[in-house]
Amino acid sequence: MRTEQQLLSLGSFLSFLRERPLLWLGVLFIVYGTLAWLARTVSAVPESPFQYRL
Amino acid sequence: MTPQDSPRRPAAARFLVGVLYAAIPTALALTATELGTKALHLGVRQVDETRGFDPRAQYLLPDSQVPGGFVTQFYDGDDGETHILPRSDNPRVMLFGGSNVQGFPEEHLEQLLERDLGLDLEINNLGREGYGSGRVSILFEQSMELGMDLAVVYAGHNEFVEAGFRQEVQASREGFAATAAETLRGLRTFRALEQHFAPPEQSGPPSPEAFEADDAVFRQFRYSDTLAQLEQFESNLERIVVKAREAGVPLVLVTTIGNYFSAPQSWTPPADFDPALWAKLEQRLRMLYESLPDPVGAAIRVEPERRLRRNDWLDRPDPLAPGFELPRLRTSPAPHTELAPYWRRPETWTERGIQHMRRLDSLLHDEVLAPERAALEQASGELQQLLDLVPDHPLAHYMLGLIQLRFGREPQAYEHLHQAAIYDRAPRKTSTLHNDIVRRLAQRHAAEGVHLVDLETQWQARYPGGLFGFEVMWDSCHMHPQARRRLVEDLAPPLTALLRP
Repeated sequence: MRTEQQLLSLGSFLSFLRERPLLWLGVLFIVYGTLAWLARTVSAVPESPFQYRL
Repeated sequence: MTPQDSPRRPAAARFLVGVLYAAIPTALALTATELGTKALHLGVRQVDETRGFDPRAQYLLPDSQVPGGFVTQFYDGDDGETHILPRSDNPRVMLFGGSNVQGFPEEHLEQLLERDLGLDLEINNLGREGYGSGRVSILFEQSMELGMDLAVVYAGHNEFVEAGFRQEVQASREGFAATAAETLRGLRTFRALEQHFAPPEQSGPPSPEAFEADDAVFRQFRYSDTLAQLEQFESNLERIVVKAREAGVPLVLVTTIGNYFSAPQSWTPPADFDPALWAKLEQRLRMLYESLPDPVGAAIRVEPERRLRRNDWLDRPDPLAPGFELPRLRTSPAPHTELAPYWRRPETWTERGIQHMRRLDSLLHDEVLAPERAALEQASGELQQLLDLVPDHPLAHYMLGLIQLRFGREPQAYEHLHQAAIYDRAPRKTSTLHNDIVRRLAQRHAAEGVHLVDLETQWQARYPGGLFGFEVMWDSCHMHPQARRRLVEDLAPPLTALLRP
């Protein structure tokens, strides 16, 4: 229990950010990259010449 | 051993916490972009991929310029939208349908009705090119809040345009990307990205015909699929009937008219037909089609690029040669000779359009000489043999219909040209099949304020053998402006009777 409290502290989070930048930046890149790829893929679908407000 | 006693627990916990820490920056970034896109009004609108088939799509919006008024949302902009004024004491008539209705001269109809009724009234034309009964039924339902005294529906030509759209939409929604995108559209960030990558909007009024599904989507369409689509047509009309009844609005269902001389769009083998035999028959049909003597051979235009379209009647680059004679085609006999000038002004016709009309004119009026007669008789026999094997082959019926017309055998021509329209797997014009649905519905709901105006029967009665086409239309179903004028004159008397106080 004590170990988990230590693990979830702000200090440990900040040191995680400092020590493992590649890991969290990688996650950030993958998530945003996937969003952009998906948006680009689906927006390439032949679209209606007119769109409707939903 | 309890989980807490597990020697793996600290390592697993560290791993989970590591995952959590790695995810926190992304979650914070997403929260920031969600708030940022909101502040910047990005990703506001959700793109509707369904071309308006989604009942949630709003076809009518409150008119920001006129309190109490509405404006259509047909074009995603103000160009060409219809403004509906706040309800007044004047009787209000609403017209619903596709491009033919959109082209109805509603002001002419209004004048006729006002003259006959002796009162002011208001006609709103909610026809929109490309709309079939699917979208018309949604629009109709939403229009009930506008209030109206009479609704007129002229629909059916676009059933397979809508079917093609649906197939495209369905195809675009298959696969992981489409499914994931559907979920992610909940995020403004994603919608903003989607809008960023979307192709630039067209300039000027968009043309849904440019997006018409390629015939390729119908290559697997069996006749059972065609009939299923017609069931959908009936069920859409039924929805319209129910909505009108619930709102207490008298409804006029109108049978539609198509070009009997335009070729069928699509044909596929009957269910369980031997593919090898089908390929052989198709090859034979192709040879027959190519070897038919003119003018029948030249009059058959099956390939999309050879079919006549609107622009063939509008885009003449140079003046007509002096002494140009208007083709006769099938001039309506007395007492309807006034139907003869139902042409757009010939000065605007392209050579392509003129040549096709000349061929049809030859087909209808020139003498059949012996060699041509022999060739056509032989082709006719072969087509009949093909129809013995595949009785619902629309192209074979069509070719046979034109041959019979060349021989002046109108009843046989009528029969085959009608069969060609009925068995077309993806018709771009209505046939008796569509119109029988309209008649049936009107009859079934006659006691509930549903009325029938049978224009098909009315127009058939005006032409020799009940057949007409390019006299009044520039393609398979679109009427020349003068013909539309005549059509609303046919509509006026029954509408007057229904509106009379």
